[in-house]
Amino acid sequence: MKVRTGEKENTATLVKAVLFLAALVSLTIASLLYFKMRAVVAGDMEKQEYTHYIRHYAFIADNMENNFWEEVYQGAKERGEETNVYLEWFGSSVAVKYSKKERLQSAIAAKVDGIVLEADGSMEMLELIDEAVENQIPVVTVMADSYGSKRQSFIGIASYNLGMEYGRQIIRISTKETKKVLIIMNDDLDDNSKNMILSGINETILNEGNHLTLDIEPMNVSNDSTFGLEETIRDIFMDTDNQPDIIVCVDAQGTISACQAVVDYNLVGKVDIIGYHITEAIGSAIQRNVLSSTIVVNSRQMGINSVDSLNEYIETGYVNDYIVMDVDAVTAGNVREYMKDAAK
Amino acid sequence: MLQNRAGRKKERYISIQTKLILVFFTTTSIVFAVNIYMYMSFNQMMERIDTVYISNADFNNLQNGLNQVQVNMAEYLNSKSSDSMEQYFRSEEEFAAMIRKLNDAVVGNENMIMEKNIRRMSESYLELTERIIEAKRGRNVEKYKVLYEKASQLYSCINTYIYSLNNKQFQNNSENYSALLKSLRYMEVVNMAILCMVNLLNVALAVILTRGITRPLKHLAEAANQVAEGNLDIEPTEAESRDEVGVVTRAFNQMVLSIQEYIERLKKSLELESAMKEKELMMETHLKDAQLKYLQAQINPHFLFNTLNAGAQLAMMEEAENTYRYIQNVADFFRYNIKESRESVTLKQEIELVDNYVYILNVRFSGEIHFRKNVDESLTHVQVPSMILQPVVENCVNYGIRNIDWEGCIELSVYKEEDRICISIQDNGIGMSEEKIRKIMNSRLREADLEQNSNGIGLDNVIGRLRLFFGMEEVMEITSPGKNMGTEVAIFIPYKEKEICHV
Repeated sequence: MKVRTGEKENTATLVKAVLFLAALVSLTIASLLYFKMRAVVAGDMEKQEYTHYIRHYAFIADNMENNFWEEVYQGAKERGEETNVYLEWFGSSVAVKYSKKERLQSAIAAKVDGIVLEADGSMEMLELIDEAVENQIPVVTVMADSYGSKRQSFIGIASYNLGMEYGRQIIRISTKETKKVLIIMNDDLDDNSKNMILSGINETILNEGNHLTLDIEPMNVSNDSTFGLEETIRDIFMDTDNQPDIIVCVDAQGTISACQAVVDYNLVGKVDIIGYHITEAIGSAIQRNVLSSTIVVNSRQMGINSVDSLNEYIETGYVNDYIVMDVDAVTAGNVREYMKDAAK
Repeated sequence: MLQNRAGRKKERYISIQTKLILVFFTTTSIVFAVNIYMYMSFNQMMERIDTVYISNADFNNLQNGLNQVQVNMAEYLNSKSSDSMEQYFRSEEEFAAMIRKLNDAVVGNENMIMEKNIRRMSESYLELTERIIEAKRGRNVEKYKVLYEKASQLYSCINTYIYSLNNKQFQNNSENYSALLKSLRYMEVVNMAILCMVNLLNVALAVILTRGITRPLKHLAEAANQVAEGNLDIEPTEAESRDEVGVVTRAFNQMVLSIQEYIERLKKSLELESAMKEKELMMETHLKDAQLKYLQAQINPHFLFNTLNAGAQLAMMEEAENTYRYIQNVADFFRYNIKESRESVTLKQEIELVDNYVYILNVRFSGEIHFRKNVDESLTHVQVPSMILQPVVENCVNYGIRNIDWEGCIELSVYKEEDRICISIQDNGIGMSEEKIRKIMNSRLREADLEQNSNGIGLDNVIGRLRLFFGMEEVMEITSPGKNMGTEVAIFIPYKEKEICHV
């Protein structure tokens, strides 16, 4: 009996020892696991698994700060994700700010699978596009085309249509006192586009607003120098003798600058502005009646179309040569709907 | 079967050394393992820290490689020497090897895409440089000038790309570096905590395990203390452990049991020995009894008595009064021997025998012996062994007064002295030497010392019988004042009033 008690005690000791050992090991493992977790959170240096894409497209447009292009890019990028294509705003990660042409050159050298390009009518651009196509890189131009180039497709607003819409807006807000209409045109637009827009405006006013006697004056603004656009617009308002009654902006950046200048020079109600594109700032300007109206194109859809066109060309070898995007006018009456979209 | 059991027992036996080694080995190996693990993870961490900026170094090398290609190409275009061409090819090869290591997959990471762009652009650049070299060789000056322009543009573009990516990586790496440093410091804290914990638990483990070793020892020590205090009647200590302590405990239990058994055996043997001694004493007494009977039988002259009786009747018929009295006395003397061959007689009968004996001697030696009696009659009823006085008187006659020039005298006195009766026989003969007295008292007088005419019963016999009869040592005292000054033999018998009154 006594011996059994002794054995029981021995077993108890053994059990205790084993429990202690288990506690020890589990504590150690727990601490180490905890540490591992913390360490991974603290310094994630492990090679991550990235999504693999089947193609790599380069997106080359004027600049990233531009709201319009930002939206086009986002639309294209999302479409790319859906179709397993990596879309890169080419040159955005480089320390030097390269021009569009330089970026196009690099994209060709980098042998990307496709290029979405905001082209212009210059000869160099045309040559570069042709070089890309010769190197089996399909090019889709967006918004601004390069006529005569070997680009696969163009997605854009017909400039004449745009001019017609501007014309309609000018007629809508013009009174008998309205004399001078200034149309601020960005250098990004090629001459052809500029002419098309102008003729669109002129012909619309001639056809639909023949009761008005308007002096329509186009103004070219260089976008090459920093803050050039902003300063040029301010200069217009400084010249009090020669102030226009209506200012038409054909790009988003110009629209925002003009709105700000009108407010700063206390000319709200005296100078009407017709803008381009819609952002939160532009929308709120319409709501505050600083901006009479703005012409919008579905920029996201534009991006989506560009990627789709490239995909289509690469997969089938054929694609529409020209895809036209519709334009709409946003006024105080319908700004809410567009604001929601913009907020998205 | 037995072997099997022994084998199992052997298997079960774990020595204290083994146990202690196990305990220390377990605890130290735990600490060791934890330390090793920590050391390794620490090392791994350090290695990671070391490799943080490796990508930057790689990009720097890439840039240098690109530079070399451009410089060597320009050098060749300038000099067209085979030396510079060789250099160009070497640098081109090196650069090509470098760019082959860059990412070429389209993956969703800006840096990786940049790497891919750099690779592809570099490939284009190398193609261009090759064409330039070819054009230069073909002396197509116009072409190589244009291409060189293009290549230079691309070169600066690639350079910018590499520079930008390097910058980005550096930023990343710096973040990683500081994060790693942070986790390194964090790891130190965790390591310290784990070490402390492990050490504490180890101590506890050691305490638990060693308690199993020391507890049986404690029990054994308590039991040993009890035994040391003389308490042998303890419960056997349980031998729970299978080590040396277990062995000692079992041996201790066995020892306690053995001691108990031994004490028991010792007790029994002592009892047996005392019983044996008693028996031996009884035997001795019986032997003495037998010896007494034998001695009495020795002095039983039956035949002589019958003869003397016939002589006395003859003297009576012849009316020889003196002869008749003489023979009658002799007959009485011997009859006493026959009649009183029993164990005890009264003192009075003994005195009568002495009277007879002295009469016979006086007839033989014509009245030479003056015999006086001074007897307290009230003490003559005590029981004494037969034939004790006559040998004493005979002794007095033979050795005391036989050959003296003066008149021999023997006095018999019986009186009470304290709690004993004293029977004194005193003569005025030649006396006895101290040595002889001692020899008689110690029963060492041999036959050779005795004279031939003794009738056989010596004083030692008398002393022996007196001692046996009364069961005491002090039965006789022989005193002699000196040569020719006589001897006194005193016999002491215990005085028992009851016995005397009863008789």
